[in-house]
Parts: sequence; C-alpha cells; structure tokens
Amino acid sequence: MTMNEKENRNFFVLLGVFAIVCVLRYYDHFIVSVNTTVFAFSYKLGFISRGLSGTALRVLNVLFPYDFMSYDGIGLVSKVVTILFFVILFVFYATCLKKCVKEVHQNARCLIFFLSIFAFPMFLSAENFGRLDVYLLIIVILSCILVLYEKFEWFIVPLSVVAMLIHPGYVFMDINILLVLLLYKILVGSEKKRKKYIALFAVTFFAVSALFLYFEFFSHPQGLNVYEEVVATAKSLSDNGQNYHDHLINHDILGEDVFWAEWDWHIVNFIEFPIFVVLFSPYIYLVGRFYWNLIQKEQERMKKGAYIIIALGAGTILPEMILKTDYGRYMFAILFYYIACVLILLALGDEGATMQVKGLMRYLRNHMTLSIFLIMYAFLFVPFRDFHISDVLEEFYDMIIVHLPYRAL
Amino acid sequence: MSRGCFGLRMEKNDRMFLVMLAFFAILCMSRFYDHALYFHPASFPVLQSYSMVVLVTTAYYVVLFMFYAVCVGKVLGVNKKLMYYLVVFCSVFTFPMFLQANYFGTMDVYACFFTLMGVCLVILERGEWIVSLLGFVSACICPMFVFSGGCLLIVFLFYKGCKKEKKKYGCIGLLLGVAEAMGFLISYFRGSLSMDVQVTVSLRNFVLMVILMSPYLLMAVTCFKCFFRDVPRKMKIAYMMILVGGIPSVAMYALRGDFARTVFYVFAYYVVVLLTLMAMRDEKAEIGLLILKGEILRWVPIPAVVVVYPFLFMTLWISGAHELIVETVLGQ
Repeated sequence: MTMNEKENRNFFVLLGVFAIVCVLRYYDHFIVSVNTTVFAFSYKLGFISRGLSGTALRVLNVLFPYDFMSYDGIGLVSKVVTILFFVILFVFYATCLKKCVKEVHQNARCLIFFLSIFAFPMFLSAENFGRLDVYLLIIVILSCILVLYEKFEWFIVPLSVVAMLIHPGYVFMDINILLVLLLYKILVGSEKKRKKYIALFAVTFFAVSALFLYFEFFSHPQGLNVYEEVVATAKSLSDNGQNYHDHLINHDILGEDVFWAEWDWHIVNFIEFPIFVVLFSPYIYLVGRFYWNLIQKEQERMKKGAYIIIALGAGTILPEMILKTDYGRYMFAILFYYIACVLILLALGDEGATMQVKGLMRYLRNHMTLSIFLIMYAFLFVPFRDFHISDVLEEFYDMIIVHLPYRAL
Repeated sequence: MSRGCFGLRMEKNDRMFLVMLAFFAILCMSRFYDHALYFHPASFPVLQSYSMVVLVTTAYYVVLFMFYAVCVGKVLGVNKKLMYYLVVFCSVFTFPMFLQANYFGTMDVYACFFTLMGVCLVILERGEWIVSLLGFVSACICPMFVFSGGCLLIVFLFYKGCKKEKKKYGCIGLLLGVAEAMGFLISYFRGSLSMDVQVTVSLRNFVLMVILMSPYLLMAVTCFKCFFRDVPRKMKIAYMMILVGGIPSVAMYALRGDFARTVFYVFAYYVVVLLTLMAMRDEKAEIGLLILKGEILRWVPIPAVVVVYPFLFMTLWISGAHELIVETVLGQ
C-alpha cells in the first residue's frame, strides 16, 4: 500500500467515524407531516406529481409482511434510503479521489470533509429526514458516478425520469450537476464521444422538461374527486393520525397556487436570506474567487464556456427561490452543487480546476487565521432546515421579529 | 508588530485572529443563547436577576478575550500557530457553555470570570496579591469555586513559586487558600452553600460521551507525559500539582451527576492549563504540544478535526434533553 493509499484509507476511516457521530448527534427520530403526506400520493389517483414514492410504498406493502403504509413503515423506508445516501456519497467521494491526480489528494480530502459537514447532517434532522430530496440526491450522484466512470451512461435517462416521478423539483435543485457535467463533456471532451453526450444531454433534458410541464399543468384533472381520500390517507400515515400537509395536497392534487398561502414563510426567507449571505460571505468569497480565477485564466474558448456554464449552473434553483419557501434546502443544494462540481472537475483531471484548487489551498494556508475558522464556522450552520435556513438564522429572525418589538414595548 | 501594554507582543495576525474569534463568539451567542433563565442557587438574589446575568455573561466574554489576548500576546513567533489552535479549542467549550438555558446564569460564570482575571494577573506578573481578593469574592458568590477555579489559581501560584523560587508566590498562595476557606465558611454560615446541579445528561449518555471523547485522553497522555522527563524534583511536583488540580471539580460534579459540567471542567481546566503554561513560555508545555502536533499530523488526515470535533457536542448535545445520544442508540 502506497503512502497516498494509506492516507486515503485513514481519511475514509475518519469520515466514517464522523458520519456515525453526525447520525448520533443530529438524528431527531421524527418525520414531519410534509414528508409523510407525500406518501399518500400514488398512481391509483392518476398519473400525478410525486406519485412514485407512494406507489412504491404500496407495492412494498403488498410484497412484504410488514405494514409499510404507516408512520413506522415510512420511518423504516426513510432510514434505509438515508443509509443508502451515505453509501452513495462515500462511493462518490472514493470515485473522485481515485480519479483525481495524486498531488491534489490532500486538497480534495479537505473539500470532501467540508462538504460532509453540511451533507451528513442534512437529511437527519426532523425537517428533512425522509424528504424526497434525499432520493433525488442519490439519483444525481449515482448518475454522476456513471458518467465519471463512462460506464452504463444511458442509465442516466431512466434514472432522471425516476427522479422526476419522485419529485419534479429535481429539475431545479439537482439535475444541474448532471447537466453541467454532460455539457462539460460535450464542450471539452473528445470529438469521438461528443455526439454520444449531445444525445444523452438532449434526451435527458427533453424527458425531464416534458415530465415537469406535464406535472405542473396537466396532472390535476380529478383533484377534487380524490381530495378527501388523499387527506384521509395522509392522516393515517402521520405520527399522531391527525397531521397532514395541506399546502402540499392543495398544490399537487388540486393544482392550486400556494404562493400567498405561504406568504408568512416568504417573509421568513426575506429576512433570513440577506443575513445568510452576509454570514456565509467568507465561503461565497472563496467559491466566487475560485470560479472567477478559473474562468479568467482559461485561454481555450470552449473550456471557458464550460466553466461559465458550471459557474452559473446553480441558477436553476432561482425559480424555486422565487416561488417556494424552503431556503434551507435550496441553500444546501447550491452549496452541494458548487463543491460537487469542483470535485467532479478534479475527478475529470481538469487542469484549470486542479491549478485553482491548489491556489485556493495555498491561499488558505497563507491566511492561517482564516482557515482555522472556516471549518469551525461551518458547524454553526448545520443542519440546514427547511423554510428556516438554519438555527443560527432562525435566531436572527427571532431577534428581529420577536425579541426587538417585545423589548421596545 | 506592536509592543502593547504589559509586554504583550501583538502582531497583525494576532489582531486578525482575535477579531475573527470575536465574530465567531457573536455567532455562537446567536446560535446557543436560549433566552431562558432558570433558577440557580445564588448567595445574593440580585445575582439571579436577568439583567445582572446578561451583564456578567458579557463581562465573562470580555475577560475571556482578555485572557486569550494575553496568551496570544505572550507567546513568541514560532509558537503562535499552536496558540491559535489552543485558543480555538478552548473556545469550543467556553463560548457556548454559559449561554445554554441550563447553565445561563449559574454562579459558575462568576467563578470563571474571577478565575480568568486571576490567571491573567499571574501570567502578567502584575498585582498578584489581588488574586487572593478575587478568590475570596468568588468563594462568597460561588462556594464550589474552591474546587474548580480556586484549585487552578493555587496550583499556578505553586508552579510560579517553584519555577521562580520566590517566597512571594508561596505567601500569595497561602493567602488565597485562607481567603477561599473564609469565603466558603461565610457561604456556609449564611446558608447559601447549596450546590447547583443540573442533571441534563444521564450516566449512560456520559459513558457514551467518554467513549466518543476518548481520543483526547490519548492526546493528553502524549502531551503531558513529557512534562516529567528531565526536570528537577521540585518542578515534577509542580507539574503533578497542576495535573491533579483538575480532579476535585471533575470528581465533585461527576459524583453529583452533573455530567455536562464534568465534561466542561475536564476540558476547560486542562486546556486553560496548557494555554497558561504556553503563555508563561514553559518549555515542557511547548515540547509536549509539539510532540502532540506531530502525532496529530501523522494520524489525522484533516488535523483541524481535532479542534472542531467537540463542537458537535457543545452544548446542544450534552444539555439538550431531546437530542441525547441514548435516544439514537436505544430509541426514545
């Protein structure tokens, strides 16, 4: 075993321990109503949005002698899926480390650890445990692994379709990583494989777009007829037999616009988001600096174009940020996107990214006082929640909305 | 570089470090402050008023920063980096502890305030006689200070006495001991000697926590074992006193079942010891930490993890009843 392999092995042991400690520390033993209500949707009600998970749960219920159509059943499925997420994430990390050049292994390990600080606790808190995002993230990571290994790449099309059937939010929050990877391959890869990637990109893009448009505009024809049934099922799946998420049912079954119904949460977002940007500015600066230098220092036109697309790729989340309220999930998606993209570029052996990562780490080593806090500081924000970005932001929100007027009075 | 008052050498990096630390402290306050003041036994009712508690917690942070500034300013260039890491490690415990609802407003915060002031005076070698006064006030407010901060101050005065071979430190130490005993007795006769125990962590949780924190025991052994190599007998005793000085507080809270405090005092005591020894430019502490640094670099792929790891548990985990490890392992 070489020195490098030994270091990687030690690193994965450390990461494994960290993952276990995160589970012990952040797992809340609770699934909120939004994550149980979604399992009340199934294709029995028609070809509706987010119907696959509920249908799959019903199939499991028939196949196995266990009551999957219950709160505990959803809990069991969520546990299995969360463990799968950890496994896939580790496979992704191992793939990136295996594929990138040895001289940046230490830097890649630092990036991986930093990403893990946010990724490990994300789907363990009550708000996000069992959320459909975890399924989407598993699918997109798996797709990226397939593209990185250049094996069974056509699988990404059915995988993307499955992701869309699970949650149409895949279009905004997760697929961007896969699409920019394919675009990078088209713009920078060899001539021979270009056509394949163009076809893959086109088919994937067309499939997810068509499904998204269908679910958004044409999948609620018999909403009113099945409303009562869905509510009854949702209640039976909740922790106390009474809770269900009305906004979710109104949106996905009745096709109602819930923007104004969620106005209070938009207010939370308006207050928390600017504070988050300020508090997160050291990381935003570093990521911005990285991508700016990456684009600026590249001479080749095609590659420059690919870098610009990667840098702007997180923009797909903007519509979600305007229309919806779960900023905690969106901020995590943005953060995951940018760090995962750097890791993917390293795994692809991209020279520009390799140089920039080295430069960034050199900068951090030279600014030692900053680098100590960068890891420590991240722990204050985790876990990201749903409409509250994180606990620290919620505290600021409370200070502004609750405590200040109270004190003034 | 600027030579400030009391002979502290503050470089540009030091100032930047302290500014970042202050920013981090403010965020810690917003993250961990629960806006709740529970009842804690107090010698004087005024010490339990919300305004007073906010004031003294703020004062505690100020003194903590003064202590850090003294430590950073006292070490020489080569050891600055080590000192930064130690300060951050100390902050992991000292920043959130007295903000969490169960410990916000406990008399410990007063004791820590006076202890840190005393330690600063001992390091700066200015007005050391005041330490005995601080000890007296502390013991009157928080009688259990005698077993925690009181021990820390006495062992450092003993260490100074051994190192400098001056009788002055022996006298101050003796005076401090008498002052603490008087303060303790006054509390006893006033009937305010009740011990503040917060049972927030069960024994099972504590055992699991000890297991999870056990690598730090290994690190402590690696660091402290070189203290006893090639030193005169007198210094060996001084180091031994420093090491055993943490036992009374830890044992006291462990026996009474306040395991959150136990964990806090184990780490806070020994990290403050290392910080103080480094600030006093103790050669053995410098060597011990360098050896430890070498071992960490050898075994831990991301060395910063060693510093931030306990932050996972402070304080939500050790104090938050709904997030205890036992619920995860054994179910609710």
